[in-house]
Amino acid sequence: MDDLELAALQRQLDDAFETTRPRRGFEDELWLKVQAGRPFWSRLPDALAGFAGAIREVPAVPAATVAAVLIVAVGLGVLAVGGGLHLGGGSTYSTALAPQAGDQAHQGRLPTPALHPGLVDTGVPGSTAYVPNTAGVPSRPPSNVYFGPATLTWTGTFKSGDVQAPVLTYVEPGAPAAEQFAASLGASSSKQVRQVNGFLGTYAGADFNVSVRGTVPQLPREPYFILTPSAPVSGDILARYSLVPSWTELIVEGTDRIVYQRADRLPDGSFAAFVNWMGDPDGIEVDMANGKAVQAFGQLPLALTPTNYRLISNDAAVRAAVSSAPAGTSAISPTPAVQLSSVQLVYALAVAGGQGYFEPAYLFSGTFQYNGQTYVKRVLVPLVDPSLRSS
Amino acid sequence: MAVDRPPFEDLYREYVGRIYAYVRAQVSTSADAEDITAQVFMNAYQAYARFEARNTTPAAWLFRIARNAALDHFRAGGRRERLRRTIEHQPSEVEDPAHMAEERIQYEALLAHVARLPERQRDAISLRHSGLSFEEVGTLMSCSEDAAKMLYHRALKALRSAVAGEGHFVE
Repeated sequence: MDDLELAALQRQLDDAFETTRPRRGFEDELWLKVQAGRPFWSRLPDALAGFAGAIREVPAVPAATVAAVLIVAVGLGVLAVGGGLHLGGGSTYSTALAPQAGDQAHQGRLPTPALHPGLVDTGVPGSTAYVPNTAGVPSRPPSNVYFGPATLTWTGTFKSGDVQAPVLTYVEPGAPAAEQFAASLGASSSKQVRQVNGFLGTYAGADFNVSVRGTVPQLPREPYFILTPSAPVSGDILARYSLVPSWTELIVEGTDRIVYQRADRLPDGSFAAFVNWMGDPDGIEVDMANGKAVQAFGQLPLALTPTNYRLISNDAAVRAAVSSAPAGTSAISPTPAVQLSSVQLVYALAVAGGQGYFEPAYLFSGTFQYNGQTYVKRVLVPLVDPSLRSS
Repeated sequence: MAVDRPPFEDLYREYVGRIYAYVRAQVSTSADAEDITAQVFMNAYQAYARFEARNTTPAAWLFRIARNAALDHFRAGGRRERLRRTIEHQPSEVEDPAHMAEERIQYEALLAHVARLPERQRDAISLRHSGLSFEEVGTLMSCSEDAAKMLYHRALKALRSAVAGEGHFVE
């Protein structure tokens, strides 16, 4: 009996050590960090290997989880990329990276955006959590975000009437688009150093590397770039590398990360902020160390095509919110009662058929106490009429 | 003179998951485990030029670095506080409930018991179930292969008692 129990315990230990693995994305992030941390001369063999076609994975993004502290301001920048090339979506929805040959428009109903808390860490550095705040008033972020079952009621108010906002569509970029983007930063495709699954390319500039990744459909996350300077940068890393976005931004400042959240102006003059699959700010992020920028990553500038779809009313959105199924499976017991008291108009991504759709949605939130801690419950309600969306 | 060693990336890809699991069994939060794992591979990369394959296996070499990094972590960061969190099963401030649920599936409770074992027992269990031979475990723990086996079996029994005491272990 004793031996049997010990053997069973050993099997469980084997399983425990076999199945305990870092979150998705960590491995690539750390590898990038290792790569970025080494001196230039030691990267040379990789560059040469790249020429020889012996190409492998990409470099990394610091994964430090930060507590975002403050929504500071609303600003406006203008992107001017080398050679006069204009990249970026934004309120004009014009621009740059043209669809590549072979790309096909997706026909039929729109995919439905949703929160995917179980996939919180895939492919990108840890997300920042904060209380959605459309008023721009500084607010301290909560330490926990809860996506599990809850009894929901709506106690908030809308700042405006029913929404009018287009769906913004992009066509999945290919390697030529990545090269075009890299070239616009001064990185040469002839100096491509590494390439990995999911990445369209990694390119070397005079004092930086930049990697470009396509859509990560599992999250989903839109195509993005990761720029790693060869040495930490004082001052504005985005300006230095011609990455200042054309879109309006909300700045979410943390201790070691600054997030420039994309916020597009709508026809009625209001803004819709972009959020990721967790409901966290999405845009461009700059990682800081000792007051200097060590990495920047974020949305690849893409041509976004606006299309109007019939949207549901605010009342219908509230009904959908309070009756919504939980996005996450983890549950607090007993089921918490949560008053959804805040709502933010956002753009959330869904992908299908080789295209990405930034769709208008409401991100509802409310806080509750559990075990002495404050949790935030988030509910994402897509605004495109359900009859126009796939499930 | 060319040294016969695999590209560091091959080593990294092969071992990063196992090193993380080993470290995760030592500390109370996945955030700490990530930080330490990152430190392990940054250190390993720096030291790789000095790695001699004929003197040790890559696994033993990496786990030595991981063990030292975990010890440094405890020394530097206030072991008492981390131990308290482990014992009390308190989630760290940044733990996400969904992530916690995911980890529960992945035998979090069992690893938490491992983390509460005395240091050498915890090491013996963690190193052994990370795939090291008893000889490698002994080398890392500065004892003989036989001593490593004895230590491991003592640890296993202690773990069984701990798990049974809380009723978490079923099979």
